[in-house]
Order: sequence, then C-alpha cells, then structure tokens
Amino acid sequence: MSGGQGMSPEEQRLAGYLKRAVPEPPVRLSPEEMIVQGPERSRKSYLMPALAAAAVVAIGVAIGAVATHHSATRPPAASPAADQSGGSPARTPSARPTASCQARGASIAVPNVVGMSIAQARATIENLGFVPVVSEQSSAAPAGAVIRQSPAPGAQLARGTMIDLIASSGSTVGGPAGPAATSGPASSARAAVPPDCPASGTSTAVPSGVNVTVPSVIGMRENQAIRELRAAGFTVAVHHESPAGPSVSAGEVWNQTPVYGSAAPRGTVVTLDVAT
Amino acid sequence: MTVPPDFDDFVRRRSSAMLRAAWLLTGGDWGLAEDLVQTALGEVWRHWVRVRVMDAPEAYAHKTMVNTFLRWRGRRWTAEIASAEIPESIADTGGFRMVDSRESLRRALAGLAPRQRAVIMLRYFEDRSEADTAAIMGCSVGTVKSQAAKAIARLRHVPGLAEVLTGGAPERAGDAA
Repeated sequence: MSGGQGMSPEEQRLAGYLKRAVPEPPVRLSPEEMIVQGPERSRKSYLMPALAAAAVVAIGVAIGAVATHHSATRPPAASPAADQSGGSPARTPSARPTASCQARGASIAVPNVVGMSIAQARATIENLGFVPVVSEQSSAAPAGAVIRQSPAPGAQLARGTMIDLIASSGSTVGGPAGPAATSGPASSARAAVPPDCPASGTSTAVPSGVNVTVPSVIGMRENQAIRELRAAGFTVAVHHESPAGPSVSAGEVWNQTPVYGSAAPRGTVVTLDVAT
Repeated sequence: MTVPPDFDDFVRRRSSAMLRAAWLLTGGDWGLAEDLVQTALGEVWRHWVRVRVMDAPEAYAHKTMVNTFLRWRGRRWTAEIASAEIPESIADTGGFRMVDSRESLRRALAGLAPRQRAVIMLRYFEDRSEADTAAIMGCSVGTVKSQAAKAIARLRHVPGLAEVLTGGAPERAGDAA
C-alpha cells in the first residue's frame, strides 16, 4: 500500500507525481443510476448495439420475406433480389452512430470568474457545463478568491472541458488558520489545525448569501482542504480513518459530507475523512 | 428500486478513487471515465450478493473496471480520444506548473497504448506490486515489466514530464499550493 517496493527512483517519482497530478473528480456518481441501468453502459453506448440489432433484424426480415416469397414462386431468382433489399438498409443505420458518438456539444464561451469566491466561480463554471479544477496559491488577494483562471475568459470550448482555477490561499505561507489576517504576524500558525477548532468567524471572502456551495476537497491534503472549506464559510470536522482501498495516500482527504456541489448554510459542519 | 445501504455506501466511498483511476485509464477524459466506472459498478451491483461478503470488494470493483477498459479498447476508445478538446485548453497556461504538467500528462496518456495506461495506473497510481498488476490484467509479470518500461520510455519524451521523471521536477507543488 505504501508502495515503492522494487521501484527505481524514476518510477517512484512517477508514482508520486501521478498522485498529485490526477485531479479530483468533477462528478459524484449516484448508486441509483447503477442499479436502474444494471450492468450496462450509459445512454451513449446503448445507441450502437441497438441500431446494430435493429439492422440485423431488418436484414433478417427482408431476406426472410424475399426468400419465402421467391421460393414460393420462382426459387432461382431469390438470391440477387435478397442481396439488394438486404444490403442497403444494413449500411445506413450502422453508419450513423459513429458520427453521433463524436457530437459532444457545441462550444461555449469561458466565463470570467477571476475575483469571485471559489464557491461562486465553481457554480458559474458548472452551470455552463464546464468542469472546474481548483488549486491554491498564496497571494495578497483575500483567501478563497480566484486569482487566475485558465483557459482565459472568452475562449470557445466544448462542454466538459476542465477549467483550472487558481485561488488565493491567503497572504503568506503556513497561515491556514487566519485567512483574514493579511499582514498578520501569524507566523507560527503551523499548528496543524485541529478538527473542531472553532475558528469559524474568520471567513472574509465569502459572499453573505444564505447558502454556499460546498466545494470539493477530495484528493487534497488535509490542511489545504480545511483552508478551502473555511474560506468558503464552513466549519470543519476531521475523521482520521483510511478507506478500505489502497489508492489514497496518508494525509489525503478521501471523503466528505455533505457531498460537494450541494448547497449548505454558512457555518455548516463539513466532515472530512482523511487517510492515515 | 431502493439501493441497499451497503451498496450505496460502497459507491460513495469508492467512486471518487475509481473515477480518478479511470481518468488515468481513459487518458484524461472525464466523460469516458464516468462511463467506465458506471459500467464497472453496474457489474459489481449485478453480483453484489456475492461481492458484499468478499474480503476486498473494492479490489473486485477495480479489477472489473480494468478488464472492462481493456475489453472496450478495440471498440470505441481509440477513436474517441482524439476529440477536438485537448489542444485548445493549453492556450493560456502561462505560469502554472501543475496545470501545465497535468495537460502534458493528458497528452502523454493519450499517446500510450491502453495496456500501458493500465499498467501505469495500477503500478504507479495505485502502487500495486508487479504480481498484483499482472493478476488483475491477466498477463505475465514479464509483460507488466515490459509494458511499464515502454510506457516510461515514452513519458520521458513528453516535455512537461521529462523533468518530473528525472527529478529536476517542479517541487512538491501540490503540497505548497
């Protein structure tokens, strides 16, 4: 699980890199879908087999009809006729799905979200059908505010494209507890942020709306996750517990409640499961 | 139809890890990744009575996912990856090293064969041993080794990744940011 056995340094670097580079998922799968759909794939992939089956049936019926008809009257003429009537319907439907698989939607202009809070930016981007991927950087801007985005606003991109957002994590390094304190001397604030630390009054860059969208912090380091949730106006509780699977490294958030994307009032307790 | 709580719980706990793994397998395409995970979990659901009592249901789920992926590759995978989405998004990635290198990673993955991606995912993302990887993929340890070596050789030539592999890498950007 801790990996690294029998790996060259190069392999180890690759392993470490992959864990950082693979982004957090933009969607949450709901179990209901799996059950309703059974073992099959999503709608898209139904199309091809369905059309193929329809084509096969059509050919069968055509050949059958022609064959019985001809065998009843004059058997020798049956095969060329069947070839013709069976051949063309088979071609048309099976040619279509290839094209429709590619159609992933038209391009949309990327919105400008620089200056918004993470929650706002996320909502704006998701509403248009893009996928926000948030990371943080220390900056003079208020914590939680988006300071840069990529691709730039105005670019025409397909739905589902990832938009990378860089949000400010506050002014100096190591001050996760006090995002508000711009010039604050909170230098030794490396105090690991205990779970129930009631520092909820610190959120500055948050819009004062009633409900805030819960950001996704899965895959982040514990500190970063706490910082981001606080910046969005939530209170954080942490459970240290590893998931049953092997793919989460220690200190990484692998689950959160409430689920991200849901709207919750400010101050709501968001519970994180952090791998040990 | 109601979802039994243990399956519901399983999906909630596992889906994000599976999605991330599927992201790697599919060369950075969330749409396909979602499809893949959904199919795998659908398969798990079909055998849930049997799977729920296993020691490691998640291992079964991951194995199903990798196998599904390898089975699908001839059908739709290769054709769809080369969609128009990838090139444009790199446009303005100026100073963000993580973003840049993630984009490089996506391109690099798209250039790998499906089995190579599967090896990369199992061996380096999930840290499985060579023997486990071989067992999941249904091939020999030798094949795992050679596929891994080939894949890495390829990644070495990808601009954003070369530095990562040689160690002159962008420092632990993930942690600092």
